[in-house]
Amino acid sequence: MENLTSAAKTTIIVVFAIYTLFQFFYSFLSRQAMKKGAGSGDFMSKFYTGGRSSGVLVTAMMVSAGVAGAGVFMGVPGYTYTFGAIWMVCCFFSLCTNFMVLGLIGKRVGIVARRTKSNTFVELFMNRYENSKVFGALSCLVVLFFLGAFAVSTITGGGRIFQILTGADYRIGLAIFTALVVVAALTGGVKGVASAIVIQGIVMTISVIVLFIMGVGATPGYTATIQELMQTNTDWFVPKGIGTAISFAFLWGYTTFTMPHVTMSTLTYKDTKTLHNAIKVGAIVVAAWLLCLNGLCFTVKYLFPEGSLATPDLGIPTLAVSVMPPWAAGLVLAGVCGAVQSSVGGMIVSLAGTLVGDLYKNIIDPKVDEDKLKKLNTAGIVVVALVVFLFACNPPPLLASLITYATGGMTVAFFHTVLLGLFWKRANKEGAMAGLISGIGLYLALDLGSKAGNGLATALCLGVNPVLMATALSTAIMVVVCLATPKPPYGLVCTWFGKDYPELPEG
Amino acid sequence: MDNKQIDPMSRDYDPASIVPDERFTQTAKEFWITMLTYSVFVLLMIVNLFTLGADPSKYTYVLGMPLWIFLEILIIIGMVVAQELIATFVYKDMDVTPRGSIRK
Repeated sequence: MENLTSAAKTTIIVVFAIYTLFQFFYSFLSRQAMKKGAGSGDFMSKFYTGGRSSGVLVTAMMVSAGVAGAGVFMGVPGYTYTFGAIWMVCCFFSLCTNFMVLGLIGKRVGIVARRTKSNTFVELFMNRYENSKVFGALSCLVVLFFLGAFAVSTITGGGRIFQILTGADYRIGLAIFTALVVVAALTGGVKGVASAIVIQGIVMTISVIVLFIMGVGATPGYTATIQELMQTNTDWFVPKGIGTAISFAFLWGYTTFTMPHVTMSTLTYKDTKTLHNAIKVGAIVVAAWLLCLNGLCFTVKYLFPEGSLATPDLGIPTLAVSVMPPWAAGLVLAGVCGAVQSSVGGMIVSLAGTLVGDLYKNIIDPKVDEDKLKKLNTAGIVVVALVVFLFACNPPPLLASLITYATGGMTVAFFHTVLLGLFWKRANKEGAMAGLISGIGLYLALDLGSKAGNGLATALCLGVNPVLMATALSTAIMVVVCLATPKPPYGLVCTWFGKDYPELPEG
Repeated sequence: MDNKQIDPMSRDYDPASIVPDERFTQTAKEFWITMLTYSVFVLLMIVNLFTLGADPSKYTYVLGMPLWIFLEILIIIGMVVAQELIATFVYKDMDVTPRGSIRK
């Protein structure tokens, strides 16, 4: 991006600074509203579920913006640039995130979460599996390692784009993002972060629409661009690799609910009217993002032929800087950062909830008093944010591997334990543990095996990402183990499936 | 009611004897509808790509775009419309409090 003049950089920085300051003030202002806000429950419940009072925009954005990170702005368009047609389809598999999270399990989770008074994803499923500390601890570890790695990689993406568009060191970008998240979380818990996510989602939406209009405006016309590319890059339009398509349909469509920071939305929504409206709003907003950003693939390929981009994933930012006046490029930077921040915000709240609420309170010290819990919670948010920040500044070697396995790891751990737990009375804790452990084990074995050239591993994967076979096999294992071990207790099954159920004792 | 006489911690019961909450029955139905709709979307996208998109020399054009790209945009819009319709007419409003019921 050597062609960025320092005047352009300054304008971009100013726009971004205004956006950042606005967010800081917004967090402080909404703190007052939060304090006298609606909602029921004790401190942990209020902090992590917002008293179950989230409205339409918050719920919609928590899912949509939570899922859409730097990948939507940079990674995926980069793949389309390089590999062509197959990615023009894959990128749309995340079109239905609200539908496939809120619509798929939202109401079911809403009912059982209220019956069991659960505040986090892990807590809910620990309850389902007889409060098994082993299952709970394993789930916590999965979340802390894999979601943590995912948080680091997401925030790093944001830092990188910050560096490219402003010229400042990426660590300054990281520091700004971290600070914003901590402020939002400490002033308002999940509601604070969620309100910030709404702002970020709105900025994302405006920025991609403006970028699309200006981007296409810099070419001879949308369809003229396509026609031209058909002549010069015919091969780019040929789809290769149906395995890739199936893999990403699975990873981006069917398994979104396995990510705790996204499914958090099913624990916080107010009522089903809100849920249904969130699905409707989310469907349109996400379609707008994906159509605008991926619709620009032709524009980017046309304006920046092979070799003219430093790396393919810089396509969108390079386009923004080339065709837009600096203030608008600043807006796109704000949009990308919004995508990153919204994801990271939800992840950090989720991670802190797992660390303090699940690992400490439910497993280590169930009798902890509320004051100590409040302090631990504050510390938890700060510690998690700092750890993510530090690892992003200085990534240890192990981190790269963890990131590769991040979303896959959560999928193989939670796909079956969540779905069978919600919909099958016979699912029990032995089966869940078998499912979780075998899922992770098989995933690593199949992935490392096929990468190392092991014939059996490669054959078993059936030409698609190892996550699919690992999930399928571990689901089968879970079913077998469930059937071979005792049924879950009567009261538990009534709570999760029955009309009448035994109330939890108070406290 | 028989339910009240069985110890909550007991594992000696017939799961079929548990009276289901009608909300759970409904949400299970909605789960399958959601899965099916998304699966149809995936299928259409992949089939469209690999049949109509396979050979650029055979492309026909609609509004200046290759047919498969035009159809892909229609499939996407169709899926958005499907989500709106399902969320409005298929998903049932219900009281999600512990002992709530489906709103008629």
